[in-house]
Amino acid sequence: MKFRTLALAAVVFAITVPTGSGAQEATGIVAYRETAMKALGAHSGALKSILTDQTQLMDQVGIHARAIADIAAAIPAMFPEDSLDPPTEALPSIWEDPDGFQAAADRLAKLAGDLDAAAGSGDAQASLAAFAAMGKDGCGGCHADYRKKN
Amino acid sequence: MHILFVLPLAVGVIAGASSALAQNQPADRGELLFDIGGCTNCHTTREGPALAGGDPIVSPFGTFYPPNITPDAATGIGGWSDADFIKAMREGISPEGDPYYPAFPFTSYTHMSDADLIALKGYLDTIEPVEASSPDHELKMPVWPYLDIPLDLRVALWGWRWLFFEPERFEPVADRDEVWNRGAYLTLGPGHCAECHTPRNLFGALDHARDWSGNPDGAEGENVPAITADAAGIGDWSEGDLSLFLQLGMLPDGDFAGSGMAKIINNGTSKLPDEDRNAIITFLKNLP
Repeated sequence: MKFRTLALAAVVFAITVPTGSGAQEATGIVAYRETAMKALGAHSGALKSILTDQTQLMDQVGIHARAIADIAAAIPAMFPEDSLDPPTEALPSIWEDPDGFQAAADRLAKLAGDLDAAAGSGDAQASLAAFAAMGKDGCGGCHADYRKKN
Repeated sequence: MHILFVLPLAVGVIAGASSALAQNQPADRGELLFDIGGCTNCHTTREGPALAGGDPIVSPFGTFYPPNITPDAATGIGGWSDADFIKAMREGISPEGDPYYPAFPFTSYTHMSDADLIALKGYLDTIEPVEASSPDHELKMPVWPYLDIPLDLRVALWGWRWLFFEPERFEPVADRDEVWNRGAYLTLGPGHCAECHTPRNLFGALDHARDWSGNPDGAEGENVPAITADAAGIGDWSEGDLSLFLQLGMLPDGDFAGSGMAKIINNGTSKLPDEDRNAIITFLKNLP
C-alpha cells in the first residue's frame, strides 16, 4: 500500500503547479486592532498568572479586569465595514451579524466587570470562576464565531 | 496515581471552578462520545436546529455540506439500523452502498468500538427529528488550483479508498498504561483530532509520516497548529496549560482559541469528565 501511495504521489508531484504566497504584515486598522487584541491577551495572561500562581497579588486583578472591560467596549469601533484587508483573522460574520458581534463585545465587558467585582470582594474562588467564565464565554465565545484560526 | 496528574493545585481549583460552571455534563457514554466527537460543530449551522445539517465546509477539495443527522426518517438518519450506522462510521459507506468523501472523518471513527458506536447512535436517536435536505457537495480538483472544475468524484472515491483507507480497530498499546490508552482511543477515534492537526497529501488523505505537525491549509483556510511534543508543537506546554486550554480555550500566552477549536472546546473538551480530559492530555504529552 505504501509503495502505491508513494508512486502515485511522485507522479502527481511532477505535474502539480507549485503555489506560493509571501508573508505579509497587517496594516492600518487591521494592524491596530491586532495590537489591541494582543493587549487583551496580555491582560488575560496576567490574570491567569495571578489567579493560579501569584495569588499574593490578588489586589491587582481589578486593574487587568477593568482594562479588559474598557477595551471590550471599544471593540466594535475597531471593525468598520470592509476592514477585511489581508492578512486578517477577522471573519466576514462580524459584518453579516453586527448585532451578534456587538452583543459578544458587551458580554466580554460584562464578564470582565463581574471579575472585577469578584476580585473586589476578595473571594479567590469566585474570582477564578469569574475569570474562567470571562475567558470561555467572553474571549472564546466571540472568537468561536468571529475569528479565524486556532 | 500517574505522575502527570499531580497538576499544580491552582489548576485543580480552576478545574473545580469550571466544572461548577459547566451546564451540560454528559449524562451517559453516548452523550460523552457525541460531545468529544464534536458532531454539532459540523452538522449544525450557526442559527439552525441541532444536527439538521451544517454550514458548508470550504476545503481545497471543494465545498462540502454536512448532512442532516437527526432521526428524521426521510432526510436524516432515522431509518438507519445499528449496522447501517456502524458501517457508515467505521467504513465510510452509506446504507445505499456509496462511499463517503473523507471530509466525513470515518478514517478516525473506524477506530471506535461497536459498543461505543451503538451508544452514540442511542444518543443521536434522542435528538429532535428535523426534516431538512442537504445540498450536494461541490468538488474540485486541487491539482489544477487555478481552475475550479466541478466534478463528481464518487467513482474516484473507490480508488481513493484502495490507496488510503482500510477499516481499523483501536488496539491498546501493551507497553503503555491504561490512562494513556484511554486518551489514545479518545484522541484517535471519536475525537478525530488528527483530521485537522495532521497534514493531508494531494489527495486529501492524512499524511501519517507527518502526524500531528499541523496543517497550514486546513478547512476554512485556517492554519491548524502542530501539536507534536517538541517546541514546534506543544512541547513547552505544561499539563496545566493543556488542561486550561481544553477547559477554557486559553493558550499559555493569554490568547483564546478561535472558530474551529473554540467550538471543539465549548461543545466538547470542556464538558468531559476530568479523567477523560486528563487521559487525552497524558496521550498528547506522550505522542507515539
